[in-house]
Amino acid sequence: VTPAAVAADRNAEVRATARAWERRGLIAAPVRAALDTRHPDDRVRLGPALRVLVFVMTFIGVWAVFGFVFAVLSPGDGGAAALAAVLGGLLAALTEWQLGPLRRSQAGAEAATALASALALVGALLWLVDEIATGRLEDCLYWLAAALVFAAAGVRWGFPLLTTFGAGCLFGAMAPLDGARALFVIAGGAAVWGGLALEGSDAPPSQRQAGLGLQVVGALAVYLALHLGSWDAGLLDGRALLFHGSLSAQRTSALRPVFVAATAVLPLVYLGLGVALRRKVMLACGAAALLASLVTLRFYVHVAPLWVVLTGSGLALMAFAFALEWWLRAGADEERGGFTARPLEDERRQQVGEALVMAVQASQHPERPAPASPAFKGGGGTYGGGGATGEY
Amino acid sequence: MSPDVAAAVEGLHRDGLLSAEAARPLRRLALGHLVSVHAEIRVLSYLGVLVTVAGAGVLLRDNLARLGPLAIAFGVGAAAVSCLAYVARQAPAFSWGEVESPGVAFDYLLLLGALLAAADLAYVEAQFTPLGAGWPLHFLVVAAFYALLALRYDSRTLFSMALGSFAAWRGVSITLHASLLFGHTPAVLRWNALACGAAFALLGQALLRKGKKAHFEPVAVHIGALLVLGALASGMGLRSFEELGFALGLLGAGAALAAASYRGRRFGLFVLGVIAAYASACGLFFRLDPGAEASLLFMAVTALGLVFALVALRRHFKEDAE
Repeated sequence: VTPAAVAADRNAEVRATARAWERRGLIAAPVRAALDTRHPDDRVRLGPALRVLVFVMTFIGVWAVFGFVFAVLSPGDGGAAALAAVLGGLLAALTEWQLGPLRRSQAGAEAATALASALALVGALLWLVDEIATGRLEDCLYWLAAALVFAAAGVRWGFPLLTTFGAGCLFGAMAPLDGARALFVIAGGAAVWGGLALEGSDAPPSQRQAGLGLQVVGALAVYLALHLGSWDAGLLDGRALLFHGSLSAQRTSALRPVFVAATAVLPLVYLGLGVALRRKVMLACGAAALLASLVTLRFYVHVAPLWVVLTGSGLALMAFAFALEWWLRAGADEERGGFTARPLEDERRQQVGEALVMAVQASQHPERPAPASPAFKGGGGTYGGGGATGEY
Repeated sequence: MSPDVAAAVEGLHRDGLLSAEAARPLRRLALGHLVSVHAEIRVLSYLGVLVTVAGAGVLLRDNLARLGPLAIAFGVGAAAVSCLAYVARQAPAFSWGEVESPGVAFDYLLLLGALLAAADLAYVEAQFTPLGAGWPLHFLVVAAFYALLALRYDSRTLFSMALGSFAAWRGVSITLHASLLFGHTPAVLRWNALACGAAFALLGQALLRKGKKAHFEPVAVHIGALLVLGALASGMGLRSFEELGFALGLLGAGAALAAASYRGRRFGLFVLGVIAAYASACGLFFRLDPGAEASLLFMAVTALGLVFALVALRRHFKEDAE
């Protein structure tokens, strides 16, 4: 990321926060105007809706160009890989041009060319790996190539999502190795620690956001490595055990209680980290891990009928959420321990969330009643008239 | 958490634009010393509602023989009434304008009560068949119930569900009756969806013009637009004049929606219109069976042409980029 782009990102973050604070009534319009003036924008940006449209259309257009050249030249496998490498290089240059001289940021097109470039280069490298390696080395190199390309693209162009993909692919490269479980725990813990440190640092905004992705990937890796189901299924212990070996050795292993305890304790560790450091990503990871651990418990121990478990869990979730809100609002200045239930964040993000909820709910409707009545049974001529058969 | 924002706040305070009292909470927010979990509480509540309703669904499905239909119907009904009774006690006075919610519990118990009541109604209809052959009418009853709750308690979520249930009523009714009368339901379904979509959009406009629950207008217009465009997209093709008409209709409707929303600065609808028109143009071109190369060239030229046009026109959009 160039210094000019970093400065623009930092300014954009200040302006966006000021706008959110103004919407929430935390600052007055003149204060926001002062922040806007002190942190001017020199980038070409589009709003969220148009950004998505431009991203999608650029992505379609770029791959259509690739497909057209491919269809005209009809190259073999090697030719296709070379074509992908050339396309990846061209798109990388195009991304540099947009982020540099054209001063684009949050405009959609530069993100589309960056992603397409990374995908094309990964495709070319996969072909190369396929040519030079076999077996487990091939699996590792596939993932390693993807990790390197995505991470390099994410860091160079300031796209945190690509960096997160890269980190995820790195764990993919570790999976076929001996001792993958231990590697997952060590590297996952390091990713969580690094992500937390990055989020709290004064690094550029895109890198701080990449820190959030690292936390998610790291927390997921550690949970996957220490989860009871993953141990019992032989996941991360090599393909032989997963597909051909006996799992009874895993089930009777002396180490198994460690995984039982870890499945129960890890969510609490994540939640504890989230509360102690006031990091929302770790809170979310803890909540997701807790849900997964409860589902695991239900899988291993038949505690109650499904409807009791579902209804009880749902009511417990709601009760917890309502109690948390009440407890936080009852604190001094409506906060406790640095947490508040007051809405202080960007209203627009919340509106996007609510719109998604509405879309989901609009697509739901009560179940069509089962045809329990004789009136709904086809074939008897009881439904309809004028010669209708009653079948539907 | 943002050191840049914290530094900006510090700068304003240093230059006398922010008092120490005003700067202190902002600095805490910027440094992550104060964190809002408002959104997380809402997500947890929503998940709780969904899981509870799923549990009630399993109860209705699996426990008929053991508990008996009456006990189940009364049990679920009592739960729904309890939720709605709480909501009725907490509700602010009615207003045609936007009303601030008393809290998260109010919003989600309203949703839970409405969903449980609808599930109970569906169960009663399936078990006791009070509506007989007219059973799809229960969707209309549910739609009216949701709409009443939405208006009284100012819930856009329930309003969207009311529109969804209304559309479901039309769809199920047509599927049952048109197949008996005409034997070919897709075309009739499509025309119904078109009519429903147009009616929703008009309803939205009417709410806006009358100034009564005007903030429901985006919900009605978005669902209406989705229904109209979806119905046109489902019928497009080149095999018959009707299919060609739907394809051209989608092109026209998408372009008209994009043009109208461009003037009204409604970017979500603009994007929807552009995507519909583009999909229709591609569909029409592909149906001519031009071959792979020409199809790909068409997609590349039109997609990238559209991107250039959008970037060139960006100054006129003035959508808030941050």
